[in-house]
Amino acid sequence: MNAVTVQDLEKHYRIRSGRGGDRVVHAVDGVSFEVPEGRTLSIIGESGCGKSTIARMLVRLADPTGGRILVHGRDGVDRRAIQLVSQNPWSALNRRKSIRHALEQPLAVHGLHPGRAARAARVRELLELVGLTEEYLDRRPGGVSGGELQRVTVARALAVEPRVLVLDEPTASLDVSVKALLVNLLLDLKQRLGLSYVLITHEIDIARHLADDVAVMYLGRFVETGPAEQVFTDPRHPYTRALLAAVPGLDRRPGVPLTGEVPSAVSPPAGCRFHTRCPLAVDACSRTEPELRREEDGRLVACLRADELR
Amino acid sequence: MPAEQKTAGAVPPAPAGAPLLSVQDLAVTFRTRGGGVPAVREVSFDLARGEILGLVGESGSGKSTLLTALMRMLPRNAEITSGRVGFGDADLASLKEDGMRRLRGDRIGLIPQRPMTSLSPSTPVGRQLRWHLGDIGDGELRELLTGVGLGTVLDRLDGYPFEFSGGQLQRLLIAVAALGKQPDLLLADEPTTTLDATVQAQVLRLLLELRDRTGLAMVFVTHDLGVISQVSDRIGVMYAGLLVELAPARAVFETPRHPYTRALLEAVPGRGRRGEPLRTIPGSVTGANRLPGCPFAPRCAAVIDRCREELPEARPVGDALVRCHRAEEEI
Repeated sequence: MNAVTVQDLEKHYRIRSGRGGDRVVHAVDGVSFEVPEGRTLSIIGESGCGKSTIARMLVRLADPTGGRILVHGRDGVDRRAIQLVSQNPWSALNRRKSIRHALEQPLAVHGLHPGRAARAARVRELLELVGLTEEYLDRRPGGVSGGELQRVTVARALAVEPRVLVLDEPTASLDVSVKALLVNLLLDLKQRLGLSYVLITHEIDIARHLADDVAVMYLGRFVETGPAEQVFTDPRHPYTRALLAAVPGLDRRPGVPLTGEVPSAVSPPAGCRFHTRCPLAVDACSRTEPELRREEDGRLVACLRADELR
Repeated sequence: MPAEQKTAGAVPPAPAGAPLLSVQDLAVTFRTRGGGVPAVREVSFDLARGEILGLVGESGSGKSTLLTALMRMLPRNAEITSGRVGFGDADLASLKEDGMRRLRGDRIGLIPQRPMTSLSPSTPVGRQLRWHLGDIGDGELRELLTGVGLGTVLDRLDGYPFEFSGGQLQRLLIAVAALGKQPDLLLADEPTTTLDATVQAQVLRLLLELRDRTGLAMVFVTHDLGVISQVSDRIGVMYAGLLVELAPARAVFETPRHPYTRALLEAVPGRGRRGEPLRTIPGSVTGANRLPGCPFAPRCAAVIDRCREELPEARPVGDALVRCHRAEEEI
């Protein structure tokens, strides 16, 4: 059974524009993927590629303009089945309310663990789950460090016993040593609670460490998907190659950087959306939009020249 | 700023071989209701012409405060409490504000973390460039912007900052800071942190090219170990206001000497096996600035009694300067 199945997901935002009528932002433009139960799919890409829009649609903070989202085979909105952990814990929590309040609120909303004693017990259990002690309960977000606060948002997401967590840049605001603690917590929780993760990140090293499968996104579309091992060790799509080469690593020398920047999602380039920056683009790339096609090793690549890139 | 001040030179060129910048025992203290908090302590280093020194550390390590102190742009509740910052003949730690003003922009450039907040949102970008660059001709401006890979925005300079991408704005600021008045020293505070990976790679490459072309020296502050490994000749690792290790970049990554440096490198994801727990550093940095001994002692795996009582001096070990009582031992 798949934890998450997404078919032809699409999100077009209409924005008002003075001249010449409204314009349409193609934030997500026909994306399909599956997350088998117990696995972690990481969606990687640069800002504006649409990855956070996918996160928001998965938890129904945004409504898709097309396509389907199934969580454990079920269509429709089930907020208990799938929960979000977002990038910035400070803005995710009410700074005037205590940590206790943050953890009790979802229980109250969903009518879980009724009764004062039962609810208090569940709140303690949630804190313990993320490695925090009771002394945090009466603090407000301002009195807690970023790493600890991110644990609180994880605990809050787990309050309703979801089976899938959508992690939207969960470690981006954290320092190196604190980041490692959160990564370990996420690994541990997945194991203990049998969770499945959709991990949205621009931090390639985090994806490299946590993901079983990877989807590489560019301007609203997936350009390459496959097992993490394959994609990270032998990237196939020219964009995946450029993206991985651009990430400064301790023992990696940088490749030749791409020129230019990501084009506007209002008017994505015709043909392959990456062709304006692609070092391997040929004439056909500006006319024909490549489909995701299965490669010999099972991964999917959307590139007209995929055969030559093996 | 009048051009003759630059040629008159508040700072005569240093004799060959002398460092461009020489920081000695610098300390910066923040005044708080609970008393003074030492944010930077006993920091000493030299910077040669054309050299890039990377300063790395986590939040609260003092790396940004140190950079702001060098620029003398500390917030009101902070002050330089001791030390010397030799830059040519001048001591930037004690130089009067008008002397400092002559150096900023002309001899010392700054690249901030967020380009958007460093520009006026309501003034066309081209006009702001001229505020900083003075009366420069179109040809010169063209050359300047082409030099930072901005040839494509030349016809859009009447636009406002929001009409440019983060990468473009950061290049504009680099053009102003590094090329405009051809300073000797560039201070960069997390200059690529808000940029995407592919754009970050372009900007890092640009900074390296500028250094090669102009002999500019740089102090480059970041929390990103990957970034710092790409640009630095030498690396300084900061913890709780102290420079705990200072060494050639390669040495820091290949033979880290300070237990904090080692712990930090081991905590970086992507090096170990996928799905395995990462090494972590127990405890937190909170309050470490006020400890009598080594600030890292409460979290250190190699701690001995002496560490809790006595602040280690910086001492040479191999190519490195290390503040650790056990720096010479194989731990």
